[in-house]
Amino acid sequence: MSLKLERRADTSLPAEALVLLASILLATMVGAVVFAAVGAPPLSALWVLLREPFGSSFGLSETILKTIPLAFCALAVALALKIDMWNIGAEGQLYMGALAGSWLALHGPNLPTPLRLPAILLAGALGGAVWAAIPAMLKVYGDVNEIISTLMLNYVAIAWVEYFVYGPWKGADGFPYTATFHESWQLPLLYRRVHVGILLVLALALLLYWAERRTALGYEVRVVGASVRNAHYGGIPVLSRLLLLMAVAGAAAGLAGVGEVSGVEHRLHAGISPGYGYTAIIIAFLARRNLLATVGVAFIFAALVVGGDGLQMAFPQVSSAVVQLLQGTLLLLVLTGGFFTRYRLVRSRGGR
Amino acid sequence: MPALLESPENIVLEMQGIRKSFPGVTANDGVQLRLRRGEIHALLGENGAGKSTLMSVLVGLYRPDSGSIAVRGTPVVMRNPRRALRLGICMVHQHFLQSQRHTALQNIALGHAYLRLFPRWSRIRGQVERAAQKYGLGLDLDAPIALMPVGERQKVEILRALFHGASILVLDEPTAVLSRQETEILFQVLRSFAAEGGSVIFISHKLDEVLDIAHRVTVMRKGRTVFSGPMAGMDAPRLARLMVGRDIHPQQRKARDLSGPTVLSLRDVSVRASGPLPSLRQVSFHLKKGEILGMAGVSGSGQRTLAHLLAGLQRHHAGSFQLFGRPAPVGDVRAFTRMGVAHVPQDRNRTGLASGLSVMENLVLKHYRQLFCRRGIMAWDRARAWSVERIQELDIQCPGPGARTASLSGGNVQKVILARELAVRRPQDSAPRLVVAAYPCRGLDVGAAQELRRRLLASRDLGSAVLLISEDLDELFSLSDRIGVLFRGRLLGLYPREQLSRELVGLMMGGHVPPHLELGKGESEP
Repeated sequence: MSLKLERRADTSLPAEALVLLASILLATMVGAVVFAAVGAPPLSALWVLLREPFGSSFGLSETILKTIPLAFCALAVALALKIDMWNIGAEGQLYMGALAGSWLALHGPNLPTPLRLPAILLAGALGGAVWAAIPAMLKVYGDVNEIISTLMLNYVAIAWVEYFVYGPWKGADGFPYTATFHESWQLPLLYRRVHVGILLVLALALLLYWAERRTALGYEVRVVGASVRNAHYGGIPVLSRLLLLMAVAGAAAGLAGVGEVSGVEHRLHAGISPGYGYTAIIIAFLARRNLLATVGVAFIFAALVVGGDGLQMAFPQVSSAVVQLLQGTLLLLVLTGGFFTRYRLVRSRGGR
Repeated sequence: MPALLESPENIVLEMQGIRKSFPGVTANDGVQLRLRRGEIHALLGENGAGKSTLMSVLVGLYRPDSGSIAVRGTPVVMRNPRRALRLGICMVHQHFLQSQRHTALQNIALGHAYLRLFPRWSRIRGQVERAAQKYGLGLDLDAPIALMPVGERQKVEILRALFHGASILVLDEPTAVLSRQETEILFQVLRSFAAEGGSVIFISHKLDEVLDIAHRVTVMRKGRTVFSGPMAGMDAPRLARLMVGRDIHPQQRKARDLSGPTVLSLRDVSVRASGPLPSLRQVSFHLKKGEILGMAGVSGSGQRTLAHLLAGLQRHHAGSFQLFGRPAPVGDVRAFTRMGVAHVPQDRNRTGLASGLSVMENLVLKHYRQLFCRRGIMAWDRARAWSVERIQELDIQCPGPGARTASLSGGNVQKVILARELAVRRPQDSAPRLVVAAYPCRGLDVGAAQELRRRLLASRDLGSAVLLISEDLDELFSLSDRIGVLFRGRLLGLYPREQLSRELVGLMMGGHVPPHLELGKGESEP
């Protein structure tokens, strides 16, 4: 009797979920080894990692809070992947959304109060959309590789924010952040620090998921993603669909930025995102580009972030890099595990 | 054939009751194959009949669900291709699996025991050269594979099989890529290989070749063995009947009335070369309702540019292009589609459809806006029902409208495209007003090609004008009312079929215009 790999005819959902679960378990074991190596008791460290994000109502609310920007940005990456565009620029789109929202709140026209929240969300979405449209246009009209252009524009976006918070928009106390937004520009809170952004991101994910399956635009995007030549042949306006999709992706990331300035910080500063846009790339991949799954995976990653913060407080010898190491291990394991959703082990009889 | 006895020692390979199913399809359903020593055994069947699956089972690429394989009387389990090779079974694939960066000799030696840490190149070369000489397979062993023409590359594959000591040679449609002369050489090699005691399984759907070379034949249809026996007394119609399961009649031609309105007229139309598309220069012709215009030419003469122009994918920069009596909305594919212009493109698998999508998603490509979309929202239920109708209408073999198109066989892929394109028509019409078909039957087996041509003719009878681009002169002569020849982007002439012969068209494809057919003489103004 021997074992043999055979290609599965179809990938199954239970298999994918199993792989994700097994990967989390394995990554945890790797984490335990690392904790032991730096001198933290592995079991209690792991317990902190688990207790911190879920163990208390405060921890849970923090996890949900971190889910918001991660999920928005992951949607931005996953959407672009639908047409084989690599949006490495969610980070920059987030910053531009934050910048646009802050401009409106601090220096924009004096809008009537009930219009202010819709307006700031719109401004943020627009900021992100414009920032994502630039690499999309470069790609469409200049054949510029979007991986490079989206990545580079991150630095430009961050530099713009720095210019404003160190310069013209510097607050009265002289520190590199803006004045606090007036209350009418702040997103309402639902529970502790969790703002309405969580409802917005859930609604957006559902809407996009539905649009992908049920609308003509969704169908067209699927055709473009499957074969650009076929889309041209069928008369689908490929360039405009590509621009539209990237703009929507950028808008999602821009909303993440607005959520941070208007819902959490209530002011703009240069470190508004600790790299949500980059973590989002990992999330989009782990979610296999599935728009609904991105929200779930974002929640898991938010838990990792919150747990990691708690870990550093409980064990000073554990550096923040350990959490990144765990994230990386998880990605590696899931990508490897993807192999087993495509192949299966079969027993073969006899043979000499 | 010295020994065709049924004695057990003469049987080198026995496959029994081979069953292999894939989700939704049973590719092999209890197939038998018995191969004798010194025999060239043809494996005949339409696209999708299960020939390739059976051979993949034989060489260990697929594991059968049930059934047994015995090589020289001993039952074996084909765990992988290496095991098959060790038993002397070697397959020459349709698309050669060769390393582009290496030379012929290096490819031949690949996987052989001599190729250890320090390959014994002189020994390998000596053996390969002897084999090459014996079978008349002369070629430059040190030439890089990437620079070799397909015919030469096939020789490399055969030499590789011989070098690895193959006693059973499996060739998957080997002549599809060969010229007439190269085919002759290949047949010589196979005959002497068989005379030496080797056995050959020759997969094909070309009847004349099977009649020419095979000693025995096994015919497969829909995953089953429908016939197995000697070729004695076999003829083409009988083989075709066995393969297709019905009679194949030659297309009937009758005198045709071509007084209908002009569908299409080009006058001095020129198109600039762009990307892979060569230019067109001052092309003029017209096409009438119910007419089939055949367009011949060696490949790369501008056929694809012409097809793209007529389907709205390409713009012209000079001349006038009238469609249904008005200037054509060039560059606007959707406008062409709305006017009832169907296009069966040359590149099926990437242009004609998106193989990663489902059959339904491919079927609705041209119609979803008009038929299934309301305020931007798709009615997939109706699209599904409509797709099922299209699948039944053209008898597309697939598990259902949700099946991935990539899992379909070549003939069925082309049927998906044809089903979609023949439905490109205005509500008041019963057929497309113009069908631009580029090489619609290339690579299809006799049955599928016949079926496709029948569909084109039926559409023509319903009033379609058809521009048929083909390299198959038999096809052009049997279907076309008029035939034109493209040469380096120019239309050399366009004549009623009766004024032409295959030889004349052949000459014109090479750029020679016989003096009695002066340029443009055949074209009359609309």
